[in-house]
Amino acid sequence: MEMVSSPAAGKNWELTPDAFARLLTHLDADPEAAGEKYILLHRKLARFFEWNNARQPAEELASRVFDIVARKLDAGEAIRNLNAYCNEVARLILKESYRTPARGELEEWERKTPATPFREEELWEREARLAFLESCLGGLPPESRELIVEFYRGEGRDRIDRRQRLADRFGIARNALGNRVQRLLDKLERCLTRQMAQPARGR
Amino acid sequence: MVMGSSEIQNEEIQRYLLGRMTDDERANLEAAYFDDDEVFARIQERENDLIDDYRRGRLSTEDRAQFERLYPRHPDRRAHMKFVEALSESVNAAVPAPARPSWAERLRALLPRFDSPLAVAAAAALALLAIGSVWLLVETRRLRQELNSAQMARADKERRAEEARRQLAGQQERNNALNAEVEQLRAQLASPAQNRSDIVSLFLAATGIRGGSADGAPEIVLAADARTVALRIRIKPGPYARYQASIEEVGGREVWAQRNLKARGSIVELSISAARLAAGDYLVLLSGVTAAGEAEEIAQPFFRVRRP
Repeated sequence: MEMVSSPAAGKNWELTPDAFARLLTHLDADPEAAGEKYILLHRKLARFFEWNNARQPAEELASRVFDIVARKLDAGEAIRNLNAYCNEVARLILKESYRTPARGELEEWERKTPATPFREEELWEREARLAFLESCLGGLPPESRELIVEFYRGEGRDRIDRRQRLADRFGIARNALGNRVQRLLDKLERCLTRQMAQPARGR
Repeated sequence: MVMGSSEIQNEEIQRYLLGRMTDDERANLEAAYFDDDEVFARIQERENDLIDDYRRGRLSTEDRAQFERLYPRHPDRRAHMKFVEALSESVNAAVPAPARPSWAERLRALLPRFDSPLAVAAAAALALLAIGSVWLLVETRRLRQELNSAQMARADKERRAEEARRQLAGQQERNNALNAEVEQLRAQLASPAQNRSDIVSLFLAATGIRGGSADGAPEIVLAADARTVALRIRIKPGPYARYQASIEEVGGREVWAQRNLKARGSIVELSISAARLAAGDYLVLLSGVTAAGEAEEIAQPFFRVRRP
């Protein structure tokens, strides 16, 4: 395992376009493939923080990991396994996040939110989310949309069988199918997040 | 050695997601999904199914309780949960259109039956010509109709999305207004009662405009034995390491000031000697101090002191 120094070290360093380009090249020599790998690794990092109940926004912490890794590469350090290295840096940042005070939002959440899926005042939000999601689904190519619909239709045994049939139809392994669907869902979730954050026009 | 996708059971993934793994197990699974995209996809897939199982009431009592301890209470997990719930709702609400027979099948059904091979060939040739022309017409019309309906559906979706966005923004505004009202009510409930303990507390929302009226401001009633007034000001989290505050009479005379205040979550608490506050209206000037040491005013709430 490679040695990872404290995330606090070198705090004044800032991510430059050159350093970012170096990070991408380290992920893959082909710029398009590097971009895809970057997005996926960022997603892994964000989910890592989320699944570990980090007390700061997962996306921000994921970006901090990349800042640190880019700084190491910028300083000429050799990183053989970038994914594993990011995992180690993320672990250190997670520990640090437990020590810093919780963001106000989370404290508020814990204090006020009952453990029920929907509060009454969120019904509008829910309607909006459904409308945005449909709009995002509409932006996908028809075959991708159909794949998602088929993959998530039904429940229980029926759903499991349906997914296996789908993999057979495409002539790919069941896990490869799941991987393909998950990439589409990642896009869909990013689209939904963007739409929800966008202010209404013409008000 | 990092685990491969096929070695990981769904039950293990569920234990990970519900925070039931030991540190070592957790580290192993994390190393596996950083190393292998398929493992990562499987965990995400299992998580989506877990959320859907919760929504459909298919989790055991223990799993449900643990799920509710984690998912609705963590902002990022909660956001993802809502995405999956909307996805499941949307996908399962969509009724598949009945399969339409192809044009060839429909035409075949219309053709009369012939017994002689020659008659069959001649009829087929004629039919093909006729079919070709008709098909072109029909197909052009169908494509035009499909294009029109696709454009209409898209316009309708965009209209609905925009409408929903407007409603969402309106609802958020109403929620903010309601929250402010709730805070004001809390403050009013807390303040009018005479408090005979040493410390008297008052909750202030971070609102108020300099030069505005103090009418309707939260009140605090200070008994003769009150020693300390604790003013708690709710703020929006900002990029400030420290805060500073001062209290002025409405006439502008400063009666109290303090630097190097820290926020606890979204609350900045000011502790003032009650002796400094005579009966009257006061303005609190609260500023956030940036890392560069610059102070930025962030709130100026009013409050009123009454002395029985």
